[in-house]
Amino acid sequence: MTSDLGAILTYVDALRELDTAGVEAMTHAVPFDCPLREDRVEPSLPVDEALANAPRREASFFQVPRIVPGPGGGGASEDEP
Amino acid sequence: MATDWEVVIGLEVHVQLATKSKIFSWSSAAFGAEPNASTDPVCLGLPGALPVLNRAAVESAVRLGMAAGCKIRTRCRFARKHYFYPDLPKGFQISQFDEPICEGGAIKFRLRGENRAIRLTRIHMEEDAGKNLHAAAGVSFVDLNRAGVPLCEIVSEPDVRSAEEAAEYVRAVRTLVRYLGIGDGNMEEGSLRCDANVSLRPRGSEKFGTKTEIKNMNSFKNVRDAIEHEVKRQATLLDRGERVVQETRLWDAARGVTQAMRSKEQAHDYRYFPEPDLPPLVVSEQEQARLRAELPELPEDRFARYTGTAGLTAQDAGVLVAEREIADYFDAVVAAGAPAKRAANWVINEVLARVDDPRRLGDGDLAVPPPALAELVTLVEDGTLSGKLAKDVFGKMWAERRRAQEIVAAEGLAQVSDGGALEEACKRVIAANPGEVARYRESPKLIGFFVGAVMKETGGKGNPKTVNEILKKLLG
Amino acid sequence: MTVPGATAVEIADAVRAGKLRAREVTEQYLERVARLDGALGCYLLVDADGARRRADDIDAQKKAGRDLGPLAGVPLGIKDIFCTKGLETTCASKILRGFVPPYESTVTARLAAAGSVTLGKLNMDEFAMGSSTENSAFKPTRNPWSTAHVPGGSSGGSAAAVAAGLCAGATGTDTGGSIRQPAALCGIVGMKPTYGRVSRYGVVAFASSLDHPGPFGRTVEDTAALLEVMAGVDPLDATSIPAPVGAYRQAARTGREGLKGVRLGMPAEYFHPGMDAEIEAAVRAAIEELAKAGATVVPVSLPNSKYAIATYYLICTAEASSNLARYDGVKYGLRAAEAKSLEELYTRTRGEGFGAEPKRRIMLGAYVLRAGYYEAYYGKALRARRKIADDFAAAFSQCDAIVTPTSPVSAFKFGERMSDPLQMYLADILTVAPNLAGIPAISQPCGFTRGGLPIGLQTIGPALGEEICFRVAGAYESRTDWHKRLPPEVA
Repeated sequence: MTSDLGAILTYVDALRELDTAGVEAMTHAVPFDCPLREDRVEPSLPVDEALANAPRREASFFQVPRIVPGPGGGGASEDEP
Repeated sequence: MATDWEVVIGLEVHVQLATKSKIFSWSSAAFGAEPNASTDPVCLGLPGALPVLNRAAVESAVRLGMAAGCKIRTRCRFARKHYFYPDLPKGFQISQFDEPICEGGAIKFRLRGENRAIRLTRIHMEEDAGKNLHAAAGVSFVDLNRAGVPLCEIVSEPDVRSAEEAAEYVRAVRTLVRYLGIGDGNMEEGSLRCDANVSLRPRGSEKFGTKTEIKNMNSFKNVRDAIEHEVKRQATLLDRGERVVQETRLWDAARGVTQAMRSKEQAHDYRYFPEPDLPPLVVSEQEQARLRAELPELPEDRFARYTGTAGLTAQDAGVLVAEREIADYFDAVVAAGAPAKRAANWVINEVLARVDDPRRLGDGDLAVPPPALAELVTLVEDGTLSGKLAKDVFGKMWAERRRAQEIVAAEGLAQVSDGGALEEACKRVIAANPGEVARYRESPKLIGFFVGAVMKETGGKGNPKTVNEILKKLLG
Repeated sequence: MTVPGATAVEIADAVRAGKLRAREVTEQYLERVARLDGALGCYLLVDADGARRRADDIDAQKKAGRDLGPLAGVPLGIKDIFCTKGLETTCASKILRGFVPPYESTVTARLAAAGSVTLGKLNMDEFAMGSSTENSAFKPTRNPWSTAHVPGGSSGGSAAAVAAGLCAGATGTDTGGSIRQPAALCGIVGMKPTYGRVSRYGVVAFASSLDHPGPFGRTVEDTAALLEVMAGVDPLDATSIPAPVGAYRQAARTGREGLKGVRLGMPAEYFHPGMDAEIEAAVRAAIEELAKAGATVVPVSLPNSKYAIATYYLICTAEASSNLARYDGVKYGLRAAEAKSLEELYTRTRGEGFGAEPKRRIMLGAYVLRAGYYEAYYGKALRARRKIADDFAAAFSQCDAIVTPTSPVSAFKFGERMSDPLQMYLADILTVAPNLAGIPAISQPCGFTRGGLPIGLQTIGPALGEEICFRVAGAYESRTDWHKRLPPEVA
């Protein structure tokens, strides 16, 4: 695996020789702006459907191995005590 | 010798927006549904699901930015922020990185009578994560109802200089959010969250010290206490010549300390890149102008007006601007003809005492709507109703939903100012109390006894001023 | 009209006219699948009951005098990357084995609403990563023209099924060539439309800015008919284009009248010395045929072509590493047994659930997006992408469409390219650039090698230029017979 990755990285490194000074990044292949949705509530999935594929389920929750309190990253994640 | 440390604080406040549906999908964003009952393929992160941006979330973010004096970007972008956590279904959060919707601006408030303005770096939009609950041993439960609820993250410059100021800053954000009607700003319920970056440096130094990030402060008091504790902790370390470790620390309110998180979880590369599923968001000049025109008068501007042209004390003005509904109510009472100072007294002392939640003053079916209160105040102003009786009348107005005029007429409460009738009453009282009349000659203060007796005689309806004058004349 | 040679258009016309019952057609295809798919391995899941119910429904509607949709009774195979409500959808990966979507993709909903009958889910390279379908976690698919050879990928099951007459049309996705290349290797028609022309809602994401859902058909008009139904703006996909859907079938038919006034560009970079001689000969002959149809052939240049593969693999791996982050054993799919901690849950689930190619791309992608490396890799690739798109825009000022070979090689043998991933990546050299630019491109058969393996001709159009692609392809098809040939092994 590692040698494969190495070979691929070497190959993509060739991009360095391309002069892209002053060229705008092309993040999207669409020429329009973000469309907006009206703030209207539509029916959610029934709980059983939302959980139907859950590998481990307890009542109406997804079950996971115990999380050590404290966010794993930043931003919005936080935990109930 | 202990150094004179300057406290440097930057705050990140997350505001949950009270839109009806989620930021990228159609499930309800309301609090309180049965676990996982408010989900859909998008906020569950099902394979193949795609985000579509909620217009109301954008408008709320723009309003917030405008109210804080930010520059609104005409074109901004969303970005993916990656980390693994059970409450983050896609393994990334859609947020904003390089081009947030708002930049600059400031939050203004008063601290101990002084005007403060904490500069902002930026405000950006992002989606909330779900909730993890740790119930039984060995397992945790995940509820994704909250995943996808819209958030605005407000990032301040490190301008805050004390724990007390930090709490006031957060309070000011809350007030602004509620004024704009974009959210509840409730820390205890989690619709307003605050993280603080705290560092110390020798006073006069320009360089920043090592900062720690403090999390898990879920009330204004906790914000203040946590930061105070952290400042002491850092000062103690630094005074001993030790280093402050850059880390995230959680506030433990029960034990009154901050605790470092396991360092393994700290260093994080979020691998930000532009969200490919959402083209750049454009908020045109025209759209911005429309939203700006709809902004309500903001708390600090109202405060200035109340203490300025309305002549109210800072204390009274502070109470009135605390919630938009109170200020709106007060303004309406004044607009209906009541003088500002009196109106303020009535609103603060009588109206606010009778509502559990001051926001109810914005309801359509008030027992005493502003014009009704103005009517009562006018009756007192023009001498029809005595101040004392007015309070009783107000009580009746509130309980029975009646107008002041109607109560006064029905119960004959109109203040008696007719000199003739009052003179009769005074003469009766004087005649009935010869002992006091004699003592009055020695001690003019006893006039109060006579005034009180006449008021009783007239069922409280005598105009006290007139009664006073007549008694003085009769008693000589 | 007989299966397997029947076209989707013929079937739909007959069913709509009441000359044929949908149930009859469905049974014929189900019989072929039962008899022949064991050897070919196109289908991961055959939904015979569902197909019969659906066909009966169409027949009942006809009997009740209702108007039937444009694809009435047409049996289709669906690449297993489209979420089909109530039908297992795996993306040919162990990590999604047993996943039954609670919702329907927009594409499959539209195809069903047009009256088509879904026969089942088709095999693919795991998470659409590959060019031979050898990366399927479950089984390989064999090329109907020679079962020792691959059908191409990642939509290998789709292309092979259509070629072998195991369905009358199919859906696929094309991120770097995954519709066009297998179409070429299997001797059928496959189209990658303009980015955003077809909704991605319900299409399991590999590389969000490069994924293009699209149709496979036996003929150009069939492919156009499918696209007409699949295409159109979708409020559930913020990158879907609001422009009205074109008259693609009409465009295909117009091609039959010739290509007078049409300028076709031949980019030197796609015909380099040392390319496979048979492929070069077949494609050049095809272009001559187009010239005889009235087109003018002009040389054009796409100077940044040589950077296309590097650009593609930097962008697609970055986006893939992000899109595959959601497979964590919490909400759906595989979950490692007896995981004692969260970390164990993640590492073991993903370690056991992903095959080698997804793992490779996730690692590359995470590396490419690392803080500090972003500008050098991903940022750089986004700018290179702009240059590649600009190359096409410039070329289209000199021509109306660009013609090239689809694949530098014909179908290769199993195992031939698996030991060197980079070699496998280089097979995409002729197809990736239109994905980067987001412009439409179609592949159709234009000959066979001496060994009897198909060769593909690619026509590339400007953004929203599906019509010109169909017109050129329709013109070529009307003057040739390649599309009428059937693989001898499955006739």
